[in-house]
Amino acid sequence: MKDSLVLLGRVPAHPDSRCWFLAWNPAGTLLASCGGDRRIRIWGTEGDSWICKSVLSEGHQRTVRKVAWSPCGNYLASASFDATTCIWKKNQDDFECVTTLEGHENEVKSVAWAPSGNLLATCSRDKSVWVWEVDEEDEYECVSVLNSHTQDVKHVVWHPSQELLASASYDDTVKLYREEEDDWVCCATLEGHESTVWSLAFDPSGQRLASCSDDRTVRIWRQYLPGNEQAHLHQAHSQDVNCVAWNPKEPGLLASCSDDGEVAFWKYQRPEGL
Amino acid sequence: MASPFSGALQLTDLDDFIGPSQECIKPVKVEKRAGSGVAKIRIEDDGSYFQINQDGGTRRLEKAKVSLNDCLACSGCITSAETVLITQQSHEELKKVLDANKMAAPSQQRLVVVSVSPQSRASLAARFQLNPTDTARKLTSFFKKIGTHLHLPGVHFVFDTAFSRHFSLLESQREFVRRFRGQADCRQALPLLASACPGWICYAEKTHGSFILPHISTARSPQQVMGSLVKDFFAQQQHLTPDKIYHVTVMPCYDKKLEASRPDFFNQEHQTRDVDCVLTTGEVFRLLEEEGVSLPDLEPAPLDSLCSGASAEEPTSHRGGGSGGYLEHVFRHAARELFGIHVAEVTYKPLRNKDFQEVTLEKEGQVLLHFAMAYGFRNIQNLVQRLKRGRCPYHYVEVMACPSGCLNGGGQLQAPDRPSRELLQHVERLYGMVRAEAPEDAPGVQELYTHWLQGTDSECAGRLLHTQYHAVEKASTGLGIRW
Repeated sequence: MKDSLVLLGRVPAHPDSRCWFLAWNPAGTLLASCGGDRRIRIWGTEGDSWICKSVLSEGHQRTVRKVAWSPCGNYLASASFDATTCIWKKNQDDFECVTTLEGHENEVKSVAWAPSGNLLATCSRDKSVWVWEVDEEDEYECVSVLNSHTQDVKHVVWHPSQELLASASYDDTVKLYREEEDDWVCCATLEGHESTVWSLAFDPSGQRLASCSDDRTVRIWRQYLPGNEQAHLHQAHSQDVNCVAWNPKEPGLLASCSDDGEVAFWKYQRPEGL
Repeated sequence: MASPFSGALQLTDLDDFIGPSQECIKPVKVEKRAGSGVAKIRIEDDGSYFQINQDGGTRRLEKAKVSLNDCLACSGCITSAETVLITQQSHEELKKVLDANKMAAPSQQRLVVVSVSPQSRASLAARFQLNPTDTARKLTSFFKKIGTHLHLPGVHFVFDTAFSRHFSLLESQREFVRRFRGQADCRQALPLLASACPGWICYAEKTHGSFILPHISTARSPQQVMGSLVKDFFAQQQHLTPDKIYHVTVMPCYDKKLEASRPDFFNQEHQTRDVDCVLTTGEVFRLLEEEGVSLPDLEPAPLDSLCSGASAEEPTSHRGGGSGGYLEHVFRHAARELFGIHVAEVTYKPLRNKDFQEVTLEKEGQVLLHFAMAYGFRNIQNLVQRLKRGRCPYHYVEVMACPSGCLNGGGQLQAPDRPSRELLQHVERLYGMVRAEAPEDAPGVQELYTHWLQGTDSECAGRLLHTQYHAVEKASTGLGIRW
C-alpha cells in the first residue's frame, strides 16, 4: 500500500504576507508560526481543528524570521529583521514579552536555545553570532560577540547535549564555537560548500552535523577528536602523499599516489561490529 | 582583509550587500534652485560635468566628495573605504613630510614633533627585549635621525603622552566630583563614562546617540590633550603658528587615527589638525625595518620634555592599569574629595569575565562609591543595555573597546612565535615597570594650568582640554537589501 499525505487543515496564518518559519513546542501541543506581518501566532488543536490560540503582536517592527521554543517549553524566542530578539514567557494561553535583546546592527536571522536552557544564540546579517546567558531572574546578558564569519550569518544551532554552537553563513562556511576560559571562541571551520550555507542540523546523538547549501548539496560532517583516527599508515609512501581516492564502487578500495612516483592500492577494513 | 579596527568599531560599519566602491549612499547636500523643467548634463573629456540650462548657459557641477568623516559617520557601506583613507595616515606619510621638509625653503619647513604613548613604548620594549627607559631614549634617537644620512634634520622633538595624560586624568577627576555633587539637579549626571577610547566614542555616537552621549566625560584623551599642548602651548613657545608644526602620535590602535581626524580637533583658524598623523606601534616597527635600523643598537638620546623645568631622566606613568588608570584616579580622588577617605590600594572584584570588574567604597555597611571597568564589546553591550533600562548601579565606568585594554590594542606588535597571552603579560609587566606619578604632583602641570590655561576652570581649559560628541543619525536605507 502506498504512503499517503492527507490534509488535515489549512489556516490563513499571516494574511497578505509571508509565513517564514514554524516551530513545534517540546511537548508537541503547540505550533508557533511567524511571518512578514510582524506577528507570531500560536496554534493548537480544539477537537479536530487547528485554531489560533494566541497572537503575539507589539513585539517587532519588522518581519519575524524565526521562532524557537526553550527546552522547557515555557519561553519562545523570536528573531526579527528589526535587529531585535524578543523573549516571550508563556502564561497559560497567553504570552508576555519579558525582554528584548538588542545589540545586533541589522536583521537577526536566527535564534536558538542551548539544551540547558541557560544560553541563547542569535546571528545576524551583521556577520556576528551572539551568545546570551539567562539568569534566575530572567535577565539576559551578552556573554560573547563572535565575529568569525565574513558574511551574513543565516542560521545557528546548538549541539543536542554539549555546549557547542554551530553557525552557517553566506561566506560558504560552517563554524563551531565553544567556551574557552572566560570567552567563546571559534574552534572549527567547516569548508567545502561552494555557496551560502542556509541551514544546519545535528543528529539526535550529536555525532553528525548536516548542512545544506545554495550549492544544491547536503553535507554530513563528523567530528574527529585527536587520537580518533580510524587507521594510520606510517610510511605509506617514501615521499609526500599527494592524493587519496576511494573507489566509487568497491568499498574499502583506496588508491594513493606520491612524489615518489608510485601509486599504491589499499584495502581498508573495519573491525567486525563497528 | 581582516579589519584592523577594534571590535566595537567594526560592528558599527558592516554591510555585506554593498561591495567596495559601489553605491555610496551619502546624501550630498544639493543647493536646490527653483527652476523650470529639466537640465541636461554634458561630460567633458577631462571627466568634469557641466549642467546645460534651458537657456543654453552652462554651470560646472561640483564633484560629490566623501570625506573620511562622512564615511565614518555613515553606516551604509563597507569599510574598505575607511581602510583606504586611513592609509593616508601612515609611516609613508611621515616620510613624505620629512622629505618635503628637506626640499622646502626654510620659511616653508614644518617643525616635526612625535608624541609616543606609554603603551606603544611597552610593546616595542617587549619586542626588542629592552627596558622602558632605554626604549624611550632609543626611540627618541631613531626619530631624530630619520633621513639624517641626507644631512637634514628628521624629527625635531619626541614627547611622551604620559605627560598629557596628567591633564586628562585631572579633568576627569574634577568632572566626576562636579557631577556627583550635582546629581540632584541633573538626572543624566551619573553614571559618568570614560572618554579616552575612540572606538567606544564612535560606537556610542553611531548606535546610541543622544541617549548615552550626555553620560560620557567631556575630558579629552591624552592624544588630543597632547594635540592642544603641541599646537597651542608649544607652538607659542617656538614662535610658530600651529600649521607650521607637523604633529605625529604613536598609538596602540587604529581607532586613534579616526579620533585625530574628528572635526572637533581641527583648528579652523589655522586650518590644521591638532594631531596630523597617527602611527600605530606596528607602523613604527615597519618604519624601523624600512630604515634598516636595529633599535637596540642605537645610542640612547636624552628625553625631550614639554616643560623646560623638568628634564626627564626616565619616562613616568600612572597607576591603575594599561589603559590610563581612569577608574583608579577618579575613584581615589572622589573618595578623598567627597568623603575624606584616603584609599591606599584599589581592590578590583572581577565579575562575569576578567574584562568586567567592580570597585566599591564602603563605610559602615553603606556603599558610597560604586565604580566599574568594562572592556570589550560584549561588556559595553551589557553596560549600555543596563543603562537604557535604568539598571546601571555604577557612578563611573572606565570603558575601553579592546579586551584587556590598550596594551592589547589592534596596532600593537604581535609575535607569531609566542602565545599572545604570554606576550600581553610581558608587555603589561614592562608597562608597570615605569615609575607612576600622581598628576597633582607632576612637575610642570600646575604651572601650565596657571600660565597656559589661566586657571583650572577657565574658558581656555574648557576649550583646550575638553571636547563634544555628536549623535549620528542612522540613514534609514532600504537600499541593497536582498532577502
